[in-house]
Amino acid sequence: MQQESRKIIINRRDLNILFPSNAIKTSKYNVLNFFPKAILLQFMRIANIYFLVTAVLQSIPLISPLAPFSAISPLVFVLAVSLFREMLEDYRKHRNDDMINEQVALLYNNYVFQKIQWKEIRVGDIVQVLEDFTIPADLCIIRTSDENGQCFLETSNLDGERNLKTKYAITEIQEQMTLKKFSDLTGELQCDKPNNRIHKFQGMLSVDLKQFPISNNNILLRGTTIKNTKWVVGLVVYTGHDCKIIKNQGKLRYKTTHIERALNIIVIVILILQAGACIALAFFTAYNYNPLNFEGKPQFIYIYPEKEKNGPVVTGVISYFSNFLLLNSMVPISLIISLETLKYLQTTWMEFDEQMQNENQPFRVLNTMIHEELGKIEYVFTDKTGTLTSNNMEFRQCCIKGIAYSDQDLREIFQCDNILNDLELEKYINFFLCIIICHNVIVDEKLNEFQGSSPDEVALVKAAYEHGFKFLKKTNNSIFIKVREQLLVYEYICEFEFSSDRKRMSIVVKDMQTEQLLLFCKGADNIIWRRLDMKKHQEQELRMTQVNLKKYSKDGLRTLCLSYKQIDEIQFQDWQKQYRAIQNEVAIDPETTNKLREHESILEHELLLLGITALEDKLQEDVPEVIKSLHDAGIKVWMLTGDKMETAENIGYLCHLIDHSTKCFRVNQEDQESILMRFKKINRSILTYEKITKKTNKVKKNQQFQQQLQWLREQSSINSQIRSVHKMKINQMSIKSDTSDNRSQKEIKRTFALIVEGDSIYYLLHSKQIQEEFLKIIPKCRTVICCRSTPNQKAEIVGLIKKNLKTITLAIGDGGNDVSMIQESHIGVGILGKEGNQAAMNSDYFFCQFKHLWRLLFVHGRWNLYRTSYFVNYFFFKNILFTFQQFYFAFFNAFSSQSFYEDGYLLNFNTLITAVAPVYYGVFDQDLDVQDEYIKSQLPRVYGEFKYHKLFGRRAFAKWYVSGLLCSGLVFFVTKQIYLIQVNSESGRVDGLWQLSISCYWSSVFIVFMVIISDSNQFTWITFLSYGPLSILAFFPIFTLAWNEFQSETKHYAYDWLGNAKFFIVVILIVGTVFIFKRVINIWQQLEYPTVIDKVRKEKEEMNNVMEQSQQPGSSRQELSDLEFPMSIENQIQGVYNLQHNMGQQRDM
Amino acid sequence: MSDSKGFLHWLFFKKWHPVPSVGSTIALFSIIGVIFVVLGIVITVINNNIQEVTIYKYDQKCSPVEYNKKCSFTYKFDQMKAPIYFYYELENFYQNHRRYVKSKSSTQLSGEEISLSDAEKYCEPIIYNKDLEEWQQVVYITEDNILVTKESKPDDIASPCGLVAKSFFNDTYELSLSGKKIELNQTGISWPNDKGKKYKRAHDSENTQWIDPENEHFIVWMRTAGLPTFRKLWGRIEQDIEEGEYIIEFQNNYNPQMFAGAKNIVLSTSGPFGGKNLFLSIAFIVVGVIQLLIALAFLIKKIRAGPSFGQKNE
Repeated sequence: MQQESRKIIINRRDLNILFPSNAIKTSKYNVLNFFPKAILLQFMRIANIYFLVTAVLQSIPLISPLAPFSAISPLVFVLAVSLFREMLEDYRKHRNDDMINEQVALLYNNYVFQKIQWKEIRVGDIVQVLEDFTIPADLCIIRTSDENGQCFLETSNLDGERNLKTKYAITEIQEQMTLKKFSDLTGELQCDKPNNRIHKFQGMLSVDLKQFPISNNNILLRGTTIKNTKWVVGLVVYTGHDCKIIKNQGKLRYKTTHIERALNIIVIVILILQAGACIALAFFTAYNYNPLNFEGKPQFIYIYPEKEKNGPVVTGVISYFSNFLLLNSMVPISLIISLETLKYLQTTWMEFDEQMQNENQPFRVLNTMIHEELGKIEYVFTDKTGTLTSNNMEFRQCCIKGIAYSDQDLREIFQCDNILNDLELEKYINFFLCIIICHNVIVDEKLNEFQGSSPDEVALVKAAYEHGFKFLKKTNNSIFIKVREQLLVYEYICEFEFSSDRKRMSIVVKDMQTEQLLLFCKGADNIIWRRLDMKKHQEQELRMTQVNLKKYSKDGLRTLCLSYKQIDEIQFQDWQKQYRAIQNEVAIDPETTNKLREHESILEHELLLLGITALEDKLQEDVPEVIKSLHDAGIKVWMLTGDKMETAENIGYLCHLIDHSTKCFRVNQEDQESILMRFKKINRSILTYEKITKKTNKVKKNQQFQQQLQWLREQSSINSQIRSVHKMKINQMSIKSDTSDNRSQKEIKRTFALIVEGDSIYYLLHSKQIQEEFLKIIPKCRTVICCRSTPNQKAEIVGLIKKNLKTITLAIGDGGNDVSMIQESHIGVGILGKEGNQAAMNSDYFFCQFKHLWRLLFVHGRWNLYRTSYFVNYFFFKNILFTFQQFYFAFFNAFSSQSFYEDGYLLNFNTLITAVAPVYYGVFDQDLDVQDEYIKSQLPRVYGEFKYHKLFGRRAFAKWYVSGLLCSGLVFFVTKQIYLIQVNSESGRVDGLWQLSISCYWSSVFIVFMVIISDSNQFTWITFLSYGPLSILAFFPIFTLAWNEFQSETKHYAYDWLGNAKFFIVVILIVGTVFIFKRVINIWQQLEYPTVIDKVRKEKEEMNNVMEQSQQPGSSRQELSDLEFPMSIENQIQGVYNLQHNMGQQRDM
Repeated sequence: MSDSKGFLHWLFFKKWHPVPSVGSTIALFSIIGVIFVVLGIVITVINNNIQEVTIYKYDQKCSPVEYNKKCSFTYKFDQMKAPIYFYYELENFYQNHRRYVKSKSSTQLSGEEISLSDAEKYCEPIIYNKDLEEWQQVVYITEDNILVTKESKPDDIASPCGLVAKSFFNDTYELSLSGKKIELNQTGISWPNDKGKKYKRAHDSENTQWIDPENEHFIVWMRTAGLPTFRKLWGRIEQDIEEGEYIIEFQNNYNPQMFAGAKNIVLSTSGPFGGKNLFLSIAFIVVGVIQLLIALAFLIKKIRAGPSFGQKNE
């Protein structure tokens, strides 16, 4: 028993000593252990160990061809930066902890409440919390300032919901405590072990041999705030890290991206290549080590004057490590630092984007490491309420006794009193009574408005208020309402909460006027329907209600069914007795909660239908446009909602998830066999459709042409000035596209959508066979709607797709029920909306409106994808270009692992000279001007094709790797050949080793810059500054001259070659040659294998040409405007429509 | 306010999206191509004006081949214009070997005394006088290349120490035409920044060192070559030489068998880009011509394909 529950002795610190204190510690270090612990943690990372090994090897003179500092200094730098960051973070955490722990609480001690710090609170203490103060630990309410023992709580810290919630003291104890002193309170509380379930608490309070069950309604959780209540006194139940809020703090998830995964493989490949090169060189060294040459003549006597002590094997091994150090920069330490810096800057730059945020509506990036994944999304999972819709409910329609009324109708009815006779009024009264009694809305007295966790309820209560049915107040045991200026009081007896499983809420009250027990129940229509007493209704009424229900659903309205029932007093008392017994049982053994539910549902039978309410849930801004763009980009959009099929389908139509050319397959069977059959059938029919449409597929080569045409048409209708010229262009283009257009019009191409309902989802997730069939179908379905899904199912569906289709998924949602889905997907996007910030806080990105997803994916996502890909490729390119010269040089220095570059030059290549440019590119480069309207319209298409364009992968990497090899060969051998005799000036003096290396070095640097400048798509003045004066132009002379003064091999060397014309000529020759090849390859690729970017640019250019023509004076505008459009508008739309669907499907296949 | 905003906007947001087009490539390649070809031709002309004579394996020209002896041979030179640079060239000598390159103490060479531990650290395996060549243990070579006999303690730190210094090339040459000596100027052969800065005589040079580090031949030798076959400047002939049979007398000290290679003499004039090197001029011409050809190919293709070339949609 001790294992499963916790026993708290009230007011006895000495007996509760085993429980932890209330202090919170999130910091990792203290002053003493910071250094050893932090450094140890740093070396838990494999990369750091690798660099440590390198640094150690480099410090052994026998092995190291380089000065130790060139390996140690970057390691020290990385460590210093990491440690500094850790230190700052930990300092902040300490400060934060202290701030939390040193808050003031009021502890009951010696008959008064004394001020103490939070951290001094212990389990079993009695503390007081005043209004607007935060609860210091999880408390069980003993007494509140309210005579009924109520108190109000704001829980935004916990679940993001800003509305007030009501909590209660146990009535009996509340009453006792008004008479007694707190110190006289003795007894114990038995409750669950600390856990993370916010909405669940089960305990038993024993005071004076009496037992009281304690539920979640009697518990105040740490972190929440008391509102509208002067004070609350509570018993401390959980402290410190046992508190539910702390237990609920999510762990930081580490998400990796496809680039990172590919990078890992590539690093391994490179390490193998590097090892291969090292082994080859070591072999040659061992072979060469003999001071005698092949003819038995001494060869290296000037190097090995005595007989070498080490044999060939030892020499070989030493050489292996020496070469390992030389070729080390193939996988540079700086890549990791640079990549982190890059992503940090990308984050900052993205957050800076004004178009992602409106006033007071922030856009924040919480996970800085996964930006490039945004460019490869194939599946988007979206929540409905609050994400697609604005979660702004308005009462629109209702159906009472089978008759439909709009909001306006009701207003008219209630304004003219005399029309109503009592009988008629009664049907309205019960309807509205149900609305204003059966709910969890509370009145915020300060703001004078209704607040509640469900926006539906708030909207309903508000609407009822306007119609004269006023909800005033709900206390622990009574409900005050005002019906048409008449105050009514209902005794509150019990309530069965709404849950996603039950899908209904019931309340039992006693009408104080008539002493009649009433049960009001409202919930989802199918649930209530099952529980109606069919005999007591007129058939006509039921039928009409059903008709209206369908109608509301079709209009995209949210419906709720209202019902009530009169309860017999005696029966109820029996029931209640049993209920109490079960409650006690459950308090001891939480496993039996189901019994409670079952018992509750006994009462919820034979209900009488009151009517239906229909609320409108408005779509968010631009939702249909964004969905259309997502579809155009070939992204499959899934809507996962808890709503019912009809509503979901309607919202689907409203936001263009499905349209009239979409073939919808509905799956709502409820047993395994028929679901399987259904899926098989769907699969067959999709295949049939595909066969038909395949024939017409050949036609669509002109698709972008078509889109351009479409755009021109749209524009021409907007701008009358350029209209005429557009027409001319349209005419030209239409002639070309005529044939294809006509043919595509004949066949109506279908897209597919799948709509799956709750029970089917269960089987989908649990039956392997069904899963298989399902997975065959979904790549062909543009849209999938899952209705009536639970939060957990949402996450499981995302997981299913993620795991089986190996695609990148994005989940977007706004509520607590989306959190699991957001965390499961590759990218979680939160919407900061009415349902609180829980989803946002658990997401990777969050903003306030669904429409920002467009820019996040099509602009930032694609940008970050190609920028980061380029950055990594380029990074390897420059390092291979640089490092491989070491390898070539080995063949000219008797494989002695002499470094080709002097230490300082070697060290600064990556860290200083070529560091800024790729980061600049990775943050700021823009391949398309997204401000441009035409390009904007094409971005989804670009995104769709771009996705399949492998920017970073084995092929792309191999391309860059090979160019790196070729460039390094070119640089090394050409330079070597030119400097063969090393007499480079008129003075006849001879240069040495370093002159050769410095020439190669600067050629490499200039190539690296030339390549990034030719690949840059966009230049601003900042680009010029950062590529030009801020990096290469500054580093070339400044670095050279600065390093010239260092005590090194190359001290004063610069003077010898800086004034030498030949040096510059050679650099120009080499860089020029590489430039030519680069340019020719670029042009060739552009002409023969154009990417989608090239195509869009070209189209844009053509558009510009047309625009220019229109501005030329004297163009025959008059004549042109007489020309007719080649097709009727209807035809145009139909044509383009088909075309887009065709495209969509083509991608699906 | 609006001005500064305007400027920042201009700085950050005035954008160019240059797309490499066929037209610009043709223009660019033509210009660069012409520049490269012209540059190539200029360098070729300069190259052709440079005269260069190599006497291969000159030590084999005396018979019998003996070392540490004077020896002479005759060689027919064409007419050459001053200044003529006199180089010795070693083949298969790895001055860029790691063990070799690092075996010297720059502190010691700049005239300071070094501790034993430093000597061990930097000069390994030539640390003590006894590690030097035998002849190096009993002489002092002055700045002017005069050998003075002296005693040195075998267990003192060698100065200069290290492999580079030990393998110092000590052949000397004299050139004469029909009994008339032709002066070989041996000053100014090292780089101006080396002598007196990087290489400085120690305090008691005559007694503690075996060679004056300010000896220019020594300085030239110490600047290790980048490739296994290399030249070193030995002297300068500051007068034009006529065609004729010249006598080259040399002190045959350095044994090329030590490195299984050869030693040659090179006499060469010089141009603005140094010695004779065909590769540079050829490279420029080849690259330039390739560019022009590519430009031409693009041009032809563009003309043939009409205006749609490079503008097509597919």
